Formats: sequence, C-alpha cells, structure tokens
Amino acid sequence: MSKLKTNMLATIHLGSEQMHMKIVQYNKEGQIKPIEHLSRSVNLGEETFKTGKVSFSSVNEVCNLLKGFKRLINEYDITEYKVVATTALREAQNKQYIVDQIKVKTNFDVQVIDVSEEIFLKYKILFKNLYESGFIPQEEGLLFTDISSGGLGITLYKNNSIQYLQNINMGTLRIKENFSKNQRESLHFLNALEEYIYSVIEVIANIICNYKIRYLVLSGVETQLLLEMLKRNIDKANLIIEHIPLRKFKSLYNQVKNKNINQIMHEFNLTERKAEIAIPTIVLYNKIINLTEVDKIIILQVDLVDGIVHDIIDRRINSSWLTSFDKHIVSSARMLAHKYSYDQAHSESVECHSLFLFDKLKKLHGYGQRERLFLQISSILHDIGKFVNLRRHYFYSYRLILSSDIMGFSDEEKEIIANIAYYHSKSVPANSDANYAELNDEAKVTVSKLVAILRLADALDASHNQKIQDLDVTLKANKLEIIVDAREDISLEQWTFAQKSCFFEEVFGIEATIRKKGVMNGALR
Amino acid sequence: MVLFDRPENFINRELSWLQFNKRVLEEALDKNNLLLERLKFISIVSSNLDEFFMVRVAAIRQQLEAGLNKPDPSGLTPKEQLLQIAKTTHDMVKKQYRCLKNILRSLTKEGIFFTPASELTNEQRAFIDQYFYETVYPVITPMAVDASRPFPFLANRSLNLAMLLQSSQGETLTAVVQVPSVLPRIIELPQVNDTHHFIFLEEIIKLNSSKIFTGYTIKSTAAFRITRNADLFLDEEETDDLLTEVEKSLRQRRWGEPVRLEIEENTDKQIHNFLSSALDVNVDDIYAINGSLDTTAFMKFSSLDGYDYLRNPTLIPQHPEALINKGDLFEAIKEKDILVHHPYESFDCVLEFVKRAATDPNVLAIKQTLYRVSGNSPVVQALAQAAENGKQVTVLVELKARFDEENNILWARRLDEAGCHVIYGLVGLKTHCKITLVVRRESDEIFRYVHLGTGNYNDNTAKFYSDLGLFTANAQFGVDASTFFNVLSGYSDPPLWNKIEAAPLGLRKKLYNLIQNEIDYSTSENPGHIIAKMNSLIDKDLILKLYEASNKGVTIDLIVRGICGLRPGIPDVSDNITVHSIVGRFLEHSRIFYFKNNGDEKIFLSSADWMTRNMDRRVELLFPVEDKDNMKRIKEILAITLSDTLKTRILQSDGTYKRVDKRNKNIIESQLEFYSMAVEAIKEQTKHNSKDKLFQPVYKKAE
Repeated sequence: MSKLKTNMLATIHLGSEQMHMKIVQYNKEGQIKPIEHLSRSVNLGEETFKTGKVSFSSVNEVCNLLKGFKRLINEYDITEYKVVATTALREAQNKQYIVDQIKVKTNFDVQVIDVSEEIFLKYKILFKNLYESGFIPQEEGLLFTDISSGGLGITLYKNNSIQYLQNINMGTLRIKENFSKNQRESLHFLNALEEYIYSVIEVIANIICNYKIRYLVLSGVETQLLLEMLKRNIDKANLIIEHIPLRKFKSLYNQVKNKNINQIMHEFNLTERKAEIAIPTIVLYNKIINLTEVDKIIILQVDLVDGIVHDIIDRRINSSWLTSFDKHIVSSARMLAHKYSYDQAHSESVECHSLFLFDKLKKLHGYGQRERLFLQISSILHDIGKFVNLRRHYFYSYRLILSSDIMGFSDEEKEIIANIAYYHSKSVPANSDANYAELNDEAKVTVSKLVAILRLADALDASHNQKIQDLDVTLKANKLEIIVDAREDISLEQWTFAQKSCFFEEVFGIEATIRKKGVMNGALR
Repeated sequence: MVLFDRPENFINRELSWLQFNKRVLEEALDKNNLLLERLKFISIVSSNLDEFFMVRVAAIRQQLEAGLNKPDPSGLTPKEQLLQIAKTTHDMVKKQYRCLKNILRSLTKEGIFFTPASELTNEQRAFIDQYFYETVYPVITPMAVDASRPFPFLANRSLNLAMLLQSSQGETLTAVVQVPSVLPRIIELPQVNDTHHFIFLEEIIKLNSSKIFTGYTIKSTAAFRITRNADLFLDEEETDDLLTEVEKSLRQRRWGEPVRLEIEENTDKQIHNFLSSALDVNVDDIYAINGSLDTTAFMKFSSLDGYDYLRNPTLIPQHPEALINKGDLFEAIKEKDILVHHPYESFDCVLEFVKRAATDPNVLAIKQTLYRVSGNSPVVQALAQAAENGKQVTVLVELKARFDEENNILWARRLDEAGCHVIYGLVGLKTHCKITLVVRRESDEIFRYVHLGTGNYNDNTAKFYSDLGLFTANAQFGVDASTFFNVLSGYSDPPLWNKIEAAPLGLRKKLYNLIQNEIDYSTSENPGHIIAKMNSLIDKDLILKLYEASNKGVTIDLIVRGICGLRPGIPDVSDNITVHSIVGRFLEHSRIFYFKNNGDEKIFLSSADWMTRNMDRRVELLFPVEDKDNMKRIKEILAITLSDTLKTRILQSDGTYKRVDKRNKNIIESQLEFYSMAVEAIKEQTKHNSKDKLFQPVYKKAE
C-alpha cells in the first residue's frame, strides 16, 4: 500500500457565535481541496459582552465540541492543526483560565489572536480570492469592510497599496449589547442605531469620502446573513464571490427600515438572535455605502478559518503571496508615516540602509523574514513622533505606533516595532524603561538586535541629506567595517555613527566602524 | 377557490390502515395463492392487528382518557374512531377465522391435520400425556384467583388459560395458567397413515388440566389473550443516558393498560365475566374467537418441511445487474452510481460494502445509521471489526425503533465495547434515514463512498422488503454525507446541502416546492406529472398540496401500500389523482418520487413516508438519482408497478379498494416481473461471458 502522507490540515476557530472547523488537503502548488467544514452555534460572545467572562459551563460545551472535532482530526490522521480564538475569548477577563481548561480537557493549544491579526487574516484570503478571479483593479479603490461580532475593520486598497486602515471596536454583538432589550424593540431603535453608528464611524467617513471607491467588499459571519435575507440562492458548488447590485441592497434596507425586531423576524423568517444581529449589520453597511458611492457590492463566502488555512499553507509552501502581502504591510506603514508628515527621503534612506545591513549581517543575527519586516516597519516609522513634538520624538513614535492600526501585526509584534523605534535615537534598551521591561526575554533580544542595526542605519543619514550613495560591509573577526560612498563630507554621519555604534558592539560583541570609500583607515571610530 | 380542507376530503388514518389489513386478508382468501402462503397471510393479519392495538388503539384510548376529543382531518372524534375500529375489526377477525378454517380444511387434503381432542388416537393421546409430564408441566405455574390472591399480572400478548374449578366440597374457584411462551406453540403428534398431525400447546394443557389442579374438578376452561398499550414513554429531555432510559421503559411496556381481550368463542359465561371484570375491558374490546387464538404461530408453521409445493418457490436474490463483471466494489462505484433493487437483487453488495470497508487498509472511517438490524447482524459484526481494526467508526443506533428496542440495546453495547463511537439517537427525534459513508484514502487523496437506501440495513428483511439503494462516489454526496454525520454527532449545525434534503429540517418544504413546481409548469396542453410511491400518506398538509396540484391539472399517480388519508376522485379536488396499492409476496417498501419538471425530469428516493411524524419528528433523507441510466431504470420500475394487474388494488373515492379490471389486459404481477428482469440480466451477461471469458486463468490475487 502506498504510504504517501497526504498533506492535510485542520483549523478551528472559536468564534463569538460559532465554532468552525475546516479540514483541507493541499499540495505543494498550494492547491487546496476542502474535505470537511463544520460550523456549530455557540453563545460565547454574548456571555463575554454581558458579564465580561466566559462561564465554565460554556467551556464544557466548547470542550465537548472540540473533542468531537478532535475525533474527526484523528479520523483523517491529521497531525497539523491550529485552534484560534477571537473576540469572545480575547475580551474575557478569565481568558487564561479558559485557555488552560481547554488545554487540560482537550489538549488543544488555543491561540487567542488580536483584532488586527484577525482582520489581516481575512483580508488576505479576500484579496487572494479576488485577485485569483481577476477582480483587483489597478487603480480604482476597493473598500474591504469586515464586520464580526466584536469589531469592524475597514481597509482601503487603491493604486496597488493600502491607503487607509482602521479597526474599530464596534461589532454587531457589541452594538446589540449597547442597547437594552426595550430599546432594541422600540420603533425608534433604527434611527437611534443609525445615529450611534455614525457617531462612531464619523472619522472614517471624513477620510474615505475623499477616495473614489469602486467596489465594496463585505465579509464576516454576519454577511452571510445578508445573503440569506437577500434570498440569494447560494450555490455551494461554485461559492466564493457574490455580486449584489446596489439597488438590491437599498431595497433590503428599505424593507428593514421602519420595522421592529418581531416584524423582521417574521418577514425574513429569522430567529430572534439573527434578526438582532441583522439590523446593525444592514444599518452599518448602508452608512458605509452612502459614504462611498460604490458601484458594486461584493460578498465573499470566506471566513476566518479559510484565512488561517491559507496563511498556514502559504508559509508551508513558501508561497509568493508571502512577499506580496509583506508589500501590503509595508504600504500600510508608509501610509501611516505619510499621515504624520514624515521626512520621506530620510525614512527611505534609513529603511534602505537598515535592510542592507540586516541582509549582510544574517550570520550575525540569525533572523528571518519576519524580523526583517519588523526592522523595515520601524525604519519607516521611527521618526513619526516628530509630528507630535520634536522633544522626545522617539517616545511619541513609540506611542503612535502602538496606538495605530498597522496591518498584519499582533499587539505583541507591534510592541516590538514600537520599542525598536523608541531606541533609535538617544537611549538604548534598558530594563529601567517600562516599555522595554514589559517585553518577554525573546522580544527583548529581538528589539535590541534590531535597534543595534537601526541605529547604525539612522546614523548613516544623520544629516537627513542622503549623502551616502552606496554602501558596502566587510565583517572580519570581531570587526565590522562599513564602507560608504559619498561625494560630500560625511563628518556628521561619522560622528553620529561613532556615538550610536557602541550599542551594536554591546549587543553583538563586534566593533562597527565606518570608512569613506577611498580613504584608508585612520577613520573615526 | 375550491376548499380542499374539508372532512369529506380525507380518509381516517386508522380506518385506512384497517383497509390495508383487509387487503392482506384478501391475500389469505385468494384461492390463487398457495395454501401455506395463504396461511402466512393469516398470520400477518394477526401480527399486524396486534401492533395496531398496542400502538394505535392504545394511543386513541389515551387521548380520550386525557379528555381530548378533537376530530381528525376526516372529522371523526377519537370516540367515533374507536367505535368504527371495533366494528371493522370484529368483522375482519370473523372473516379471518372463517378463512383459516377453510385453509386448515384444505390442508387436511394434503395430509396436514390439526387434530381435535375427540379424534386423537390412543398413541397420540399417550404422546400428549407424556409430553405434558416431561416438558410442559415443569414450566407452568397455575395461579388461583380469589379474595386473597388477586388476578395475576399477565404479560402483553401472552396466551393464557382460564379455568373454572370446583372443589370436592362444591365451592368454585377460578384459576389462570399461562401457556408457556418458551415452548413451541404447535406440536407435531405421531403420524397416522403417513399423515401429519398437529396440536396446539394450549390443547395439551387443557387435556391434562385435571393433573394441574388435583382435588378439583375442572368445570370449564377457556384460552384468552391480552393486548396491552405498548408504546414507549420516554422523558428524553430530562435524561442524560438514553440507553438506560429505554431499558427502563421497556420493562414498563409489559405493564401497559389492556386494550384488547381475545377469548375463545362459547366460553362459559362465568369465565367470560370473570375475565372482563378482572381486566377491566369494554364489551367492544372483547373478541370472541372461533378457532385457536394468536394465529401468528402459523408464520413459523408455514415453513413446514416437505411441503414446498404448497409454498411459492423461493426467489433467490440475484447478483445486481450493475455489478456484474465488476471486480472491486469501490472501483465500480467510482466508475458510475450504482442502483440496486432489493430483494430481486441481492442485499449482499451492501454487506460487502461495509465488510470491505472494515478490512480495507485504505479506509479511514465508516459512518452508518442503524434503525433496525437483524439478530446477529453481519453489519454490526463488520462495524465492530472495523473499530477493532483501528478504523474510526461512528454509528447512530436508533434505540427507539419500535419493538426492536431490546435488540438495539444489546448490539449498541456490543459496538460501544468494540470501540465504535456510538450515538444513541437524538433527543426527541427518531433517526429513520439509512445512510452509510466510507472515507477512504487512495494514494494521496481522500475519497468518499456513500450508500443511501430506502430500507433498513437488515439482511433478513432485505429478503422480502422491496427497496432501492444507491451507491455513489459523487463528491457532492460525499460532502453532504460527511456533514450529515457531523450534524448527527452534534459537531455542526445543518448547512445548505448540495444534494440531499433532510427531515425535520427542509424535507417538507422541499416536497412542497417540488409539487409547487409541477403546478407552475402545468398547462392544459402539457400537464405536470407526479408519481409518488410510499408506504403511507397521511400528512394533511402534503395531501392538501397534492389536492391543489390535482386541481391545477397535474396528473398524480400514487402508489401507497398502506395507510392513505387522501381521497381520490373528488371533482375539482382530486380527480387527477389515482391511488394504487400493492400487497404481494414481498412487502412494498421503497419510496420513490418522480416529478416531470417540464421535461427535465427529477427523481428522488427517500427513507420517509409522507406522514407527519416522518416530516417533523424523524431524521429522514431524500436524495436525487441523477445518473441517466439509473433514472431510466427507476422510471421503468414505476411504470411496471403502475401496470400491475394482479396484486394491485385501486382506491375508490368511497375509501374502499378494488382490484384492477383485468379485461383486455395482460396479467402482470410486478414483483415477479422485477424478479425475472434480474434473472434475465444475469443470463444476458453470463451468455456474453461464456464467449469472452471461456478461458479464464486464476493467478494469485495481486495486492
């Protein structure tokens, strides 16, 4: 019998309202064949939003279900699987206990992912699907709107890059819990809801109305509900992309308007739970449609588990999508830098130098693509704090990075990037700084190593004049020599370099020196 | 607008069922049938009635006792129903016993005698006495009944003797002796002149009654039999362990209220009164029987050795046409969907499917629903073996399958112990669908093989139930089957299905839509057409939908073996509907649904009858047959069934059934027709074989 091991993968998503599992088969070309898709309603989100905690009885229910999922995983002899949880666990005060209970009872390691990771995972799968069906326009805008029970993610893609990105803590369940049952059942509810939603998304509104957007891409569990209400016969065989003409959506909105929950339940044959979630979804979408004057609505039948599946497989097969999505991440960081009026030329110069050094010093730091990306992003953003104040600008850079939505990073990773930026100028990483002390050991080392490189790169453009035209390095014994090609005088750069390179030696135990091409030795240290 | 929902448009469920049993009785009456076959039908009439009383009559009684007297769709209140049931059943039983007498009389001409006590030879009498002493006496428990000894508890469907005794002092006493159910009911006596003589067990006891109650004289004896309410009552919502709950209620079943008392005709008045008051049954519920009670014993008797000429020749199920010259079953299924027509075609391929899966190293998982299986079922054995072989086996065992519960508990435990993942049914729903899924890894890919059927995974009943089964490797069926089992296991909510439809989810709606679709397409030039074959049709809403379709000009041919609540031939309501019913040597059991769909025909098979319980309280499946050849074959099956002239009765608008007018028609017995088709197919193929593969060397089988 052929014992060729099939490449199979299972991913599980513990959502607020549903638990999903997807089992797929994939090959080296990245072709994916779905084997099983399970989805079962659970009530985690409501509990967390109401009480702040997930009850142990719910955990038992979840564990029983997970044991069932495990049966299937064993059935197919699958060794590669991943369990991910979102809002319901993310926001539960007893998150750690729940994760621990699940581990004890089912032996699953649950990874609770951040909002931005969640949105990025979904964004990637949406983008991939659209791209593969020839749907990504060159210049016209695509507005990705992802609504989940806990959050709303808005991503604007135009001219091959991310133009705008904002994640808001306003999901359907959260909206629902914001109003009392009486309020929800009142006839004025819809009106109040519209005003409430507008008050939250006003800022976004002011920005996105400046862009010409062609397609609105909707996703999220609630979006399936929209399809249901539009009575689209979903042909499961050729799923994925659904187009909704604008007028169809408008007529749905008009149908829903002026009706209370009971009437909506009746008219669309929905359960109360679904109806209560349907209303905010439709109102929100309507608001966004009004803002953007889009031509077309696209709904994709993909959800987070698909995103995770693709993410894992892309890494496994080292797909070209990895670099393409890194480009999206970088573009989103540039967009952020642009928002804070950065010195683009300096930023690009630092980015270029630090990546050059990173690549040349691979043996020294031993890092891979992910860390390279941290360095790249912090190089781009290292000076944005100057927008707030020139004094202690590194501190404001740190703050701004932490409080901005940058595509594709978890909160922990953002901490790393922000810390790198923090130490780019004066001070060096020290446990006396709260921001550094909070990091775990591994992250501290990452920050320090990348800071050491960033400081050198920053020194190379100390004058912000991009004097250095070319760069080369030699690494011999315990000495790193950077040979720069510049026509102008680079004294400032050399002095700054001397000052900033101490930390490099501290981290790597290697002395770094700078030498102008053509000038032998005798250079300043 | 015609009003469809009027009482006169419906036939009462129970009366329709009695009509069905009458058709069974007609088979016993039919002199064209062979004698022992007729005897078998006598026995079936009785066992049918037993179940009818235990379940249906008991249920109506309970309704009445609960103070519910709401009329059914045909306008009959429970009280009226009970009255009509009693009247019809009394007539039917009289007819049945008259018929039995005739059959037994005819059997004497063949040398088979049921010897009355008065005609026993000395030798026979000596045999009886010895048999009594050695075999019967040790297992009987005589029970006297008086003020200090209350009337004993007598098990459901047990046969008993009531005796009126007189002591030497002249005082009278009543006593009850249970006829032991552990002993054969019919005992063969020594032969006389090469003729076979038989006697009933109760007669043997009667003849020796004085030896049981020594010191008393026996004034009179009478056999009687009680039927009790035997429906299970489960508090499913409150239970964690369905298995123990079913066990508990099984013990209770034997204690249900009596709903019928059968008693020998011309019984002593005193005994009669004694029994009727002790058991608290109404006059209407007492059936005076002119003959031996409980004719179900004739079922076994009818297979008496040496009398093959009094029975239909056994029709040996044939190798399925679609599998002729097919080596590997999985390969064959992958090549093409395979349709199998049982019992004309053998059920072995279904067993083979499970057995192969159990031992095939490439099989990862087997999942199956089991409703009723045979004792010592090969299916259960194969599943257990599969689990022992390390395969993931998921079995949904329907513990609540009526009158099979005891059996079910036993082998559910067996599967559990073997390491199968056993689901003991779903709360509040009976899982009636028949589906098997085999997940197989072939080189590098996952393939799923599915079997869907209209009949149970029971190798015994598959020999005499007419059913259809479909094997498919169609990926969409595979996904549906996987998901279906995930739903049954509680791992997933019901999705949108690719191919199948399930009750109690969307089945009813799907059927409405299919009927509505015919209505929408129907024009006077091109009327819609529905052919629906099932066992029972009683769901009011579906009947109303059929009326609507008939009213809009859709031609509707129904083939309903048993209960039919639809009344055909009512102007503007059902004048486009005909109802056929076939009661033949095999039990018609397949559910087939054909829709013309404006020329793009659709054919479905299903586990579900069109009864409210099947739509709303059972897990059922409906699945399409899409392969063109298979569709053609099913259409042929339907056409032959509809053209049957011999075993078909046609429902009249007055609710009675009439045989087909055979004038100017070829005589067609559809069941035999199907059988000869199966035989012909084999002959046809083997004929080809004899030329092609005359020399077929056998080598060691390649792995």
